[in-house]
Amino acid sequence: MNNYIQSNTHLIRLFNVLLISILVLPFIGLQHSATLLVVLLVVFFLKDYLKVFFSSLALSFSGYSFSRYKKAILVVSSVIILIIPIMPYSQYATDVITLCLIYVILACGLNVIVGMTGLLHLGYAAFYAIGAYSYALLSINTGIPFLATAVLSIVITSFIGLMTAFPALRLKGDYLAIVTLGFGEILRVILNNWQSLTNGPNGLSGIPAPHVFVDFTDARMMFYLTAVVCFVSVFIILRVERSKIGRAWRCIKEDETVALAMGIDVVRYKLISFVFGSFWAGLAGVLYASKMGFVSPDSFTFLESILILCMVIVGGLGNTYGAIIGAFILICIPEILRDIQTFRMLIVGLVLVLLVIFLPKGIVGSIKDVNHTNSKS
Amino acid sequence: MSIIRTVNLEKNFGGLKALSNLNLSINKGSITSIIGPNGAGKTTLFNCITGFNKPNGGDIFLGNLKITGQPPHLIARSGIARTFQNIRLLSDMTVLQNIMVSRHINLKYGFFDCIFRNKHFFLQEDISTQKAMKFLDFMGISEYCHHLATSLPYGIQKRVEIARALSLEPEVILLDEPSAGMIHAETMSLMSQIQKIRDIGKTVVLIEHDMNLVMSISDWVIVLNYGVMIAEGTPNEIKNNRQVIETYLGFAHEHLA
Repeated sequence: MNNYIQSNTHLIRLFNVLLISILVLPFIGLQHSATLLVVLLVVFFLKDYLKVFFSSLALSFSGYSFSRYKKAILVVSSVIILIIPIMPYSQYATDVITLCLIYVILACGLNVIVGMTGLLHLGYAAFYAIGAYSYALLSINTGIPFLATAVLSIVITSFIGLMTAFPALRLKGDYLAIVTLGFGEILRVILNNWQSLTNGPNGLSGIPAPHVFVDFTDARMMFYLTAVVCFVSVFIILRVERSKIGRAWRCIKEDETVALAMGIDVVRYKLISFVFGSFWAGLAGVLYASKMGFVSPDSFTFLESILILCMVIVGGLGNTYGAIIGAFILICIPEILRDIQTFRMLIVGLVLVLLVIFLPKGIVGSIKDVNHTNSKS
Repeated sequence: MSIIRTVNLEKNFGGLKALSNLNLSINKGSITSIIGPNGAGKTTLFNCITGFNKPNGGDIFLGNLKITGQPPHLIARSGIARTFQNIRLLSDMTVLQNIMVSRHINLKYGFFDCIFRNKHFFLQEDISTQKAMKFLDFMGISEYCHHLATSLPYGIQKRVEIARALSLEPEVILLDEPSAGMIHAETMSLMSQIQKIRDIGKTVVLIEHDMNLVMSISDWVIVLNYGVMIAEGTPNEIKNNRQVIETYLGFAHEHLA
């Protein structure tokens, strides 16, 4: 009986794999679809072996207590990242890592909303866009200094976050996701069509570089500015996470009824979470606009929101360290794979699917799980 | 002296009168049990008192404070804590973290204190952790403080829930079927713990089906049926009340005769 089911699922798998390969045949050609077929066959039929491999990988981490070495890992990796721009011929790497750090802020900010408070937000890129556009418009059209412009843009973003949260937070779960998704799209359409203000799809260019005592025109200078801002952001987010506010968020995520019974003002804490999350999107937007010197609606599509959400999920929902790791993985993998143009996004997708199948609680979450079962037995 | 008082309390669900014209008062520092058959409105009464259901009419007083129709978190702040019929612990957290969640209203620091971690922040957190441990100790479960809450046996989880309600430092604590699903030995130790809670000056109100527990620890028993209070009194009075016996056992005399 058991054997019969086994062979049956194998047949279904084989059928699925064949079907997918044939379906994509007209789009990517015979050679590529054959490669895809092989890759899929390997993945589907070696699933059980891969599972063992991944869990043993997680297990090998668990030997060292993650929390004990957390500081060491953090310090070493930060030092490595910080010396990269000093190395010769590192222009490209510096650019990529600056982008990574901006996405670290975004992922950590979204993690506050989605991971900690459990509000599914699918329009986060909209707030990123608001931050970037307000900085761009303010710095191009007015003469106020960098710091004031930056603070003003972040305040505007947080305020718009508050204004959208008021009506949106009456909804829960999927409905909230749809509203945030809609907001993201509406904002993109506005940016595309309000010619007189945003210059439409052509975007805004000539955004001045940050200026605090010195000009941050050099990519290296910009990198160190981003690194400092990123460090401070993560620091603040971690501190808020480990206080009564973070605990209240977690309680709301798991069980709103319990939160109410414990005297937590659920609506207020959801608002705080939303505004706090939007704050970081605004900050990242300012950094992005001032680094690139150019913003256009193309950079803030729905795909961008999903990318940031993927970072949070890959790292492990609700875990700030996870969000950092997720941001680095999802920015670096496509860059590393730049050489094999066609397969780039395919492999990124594959890695995502594999991660979600084998490490369903995200990277950090799964390592924690293994640690816990080990320490109990 | 009464601490919770309801005046003509009404609650309807559509055409169903879950509570009708309920006047009851619960004495300060007592253990009051609310009993009644399934669907009698016991949990609805709890939900009305804690603000999860809005009554359709009448008033509820906590001491002299009118709490009718206030949102649940404000009622919790004014001093009524509750547990739930089915265990609702936060699964991703340890026991201690679960208790710390309910210290929320007693932690008096603001957003910027969290970021700058000043002396005030640490002082408040330290006091709260100590208090949380104290309540775990009180319930006899401090050894489990670093275990994941949902990995513990059922009886222990029930006690964690009670400890969590206690650590709100309420005046009144409402327990919704605390002994449901417990074995006899667990129920016995729970009984002594409920008495201990009363002895530190809290008022305990419980919904319970275990008559042994109700009759041996209650100071006062209130019997509900179809949303109406059919009897109240000391356990001995209730045991011998004819109407209560009829409610639970059916009409003994008329039908048999």
